[in-house]
Amino acid sequence: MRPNSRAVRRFLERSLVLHVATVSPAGNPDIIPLWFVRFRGRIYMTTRSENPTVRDLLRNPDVVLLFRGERGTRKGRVLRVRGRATFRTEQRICAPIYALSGLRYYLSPGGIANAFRNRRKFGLRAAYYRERAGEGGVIEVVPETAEFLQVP
Amino acid sequence: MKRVTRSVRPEDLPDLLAKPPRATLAFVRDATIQAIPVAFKFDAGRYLVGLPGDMDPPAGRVKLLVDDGPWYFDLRGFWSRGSLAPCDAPANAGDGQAWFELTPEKTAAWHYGSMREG
Repeated sequence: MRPNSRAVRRFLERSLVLHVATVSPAGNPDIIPLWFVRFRGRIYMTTRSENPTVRDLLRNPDVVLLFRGERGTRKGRVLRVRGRATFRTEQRICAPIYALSGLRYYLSPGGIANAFRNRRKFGLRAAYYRERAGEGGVIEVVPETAEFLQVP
Repeated sequence: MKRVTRSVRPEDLPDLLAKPPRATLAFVRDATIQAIPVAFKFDAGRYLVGLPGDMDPPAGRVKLLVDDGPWYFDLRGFWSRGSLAPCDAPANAGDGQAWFELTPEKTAAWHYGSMREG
């Protein structure tokens, strides 16, 4: 299936969290959940340079992304995308991704409600990110293949 | 100086362990990363993973990721790295799956809603 097909685009719109799998420099599997946005046919995740997934993809850019379509009504399917990833820190790349991520995850009704319920934790959240090392940036994935799988 | 942490123990997430909305197994085959959706059961402290019955089970190290929550303070989950060994299907398991127990080498869990100075 083409990664830019209508079915894939619609499934991505219904998905909110992806699982990104990579190979570590030692040859072991890694996998983490991340928020994402789709922009100009590519998939982007905001993170920091010290994230082990970034370390992995700098050595081996092959990644597998799994999407669940959480907001859809049809359950039981997972979209698997294979692609090649890079870590980008240029402002011209990062700025629109940060804006789209903010709209999707902080300024959406669900994001606003979640923030309001947890407003007393904002100070802790700010301190948490101040303490994390590494340069901010985005993982950029160029999708190569896409397929739907059944959830066991 | 205390650092802010979102780390918890997997046992601190009992409803996630009981009903995981997202479970994925990652492994390396022929030097290529693979990831598949899996069934997951937490059974008396054991991590049980259900794979499609017609699939060759992965050899070597695997990494299991189980998580939940789209919104920031709802994000929670755990990962466990280890190896798989065949086991009996747990109670209430679906048909058509082969079941494996994950022997963990390392596990980490998080819950952003439990963020605190640790």
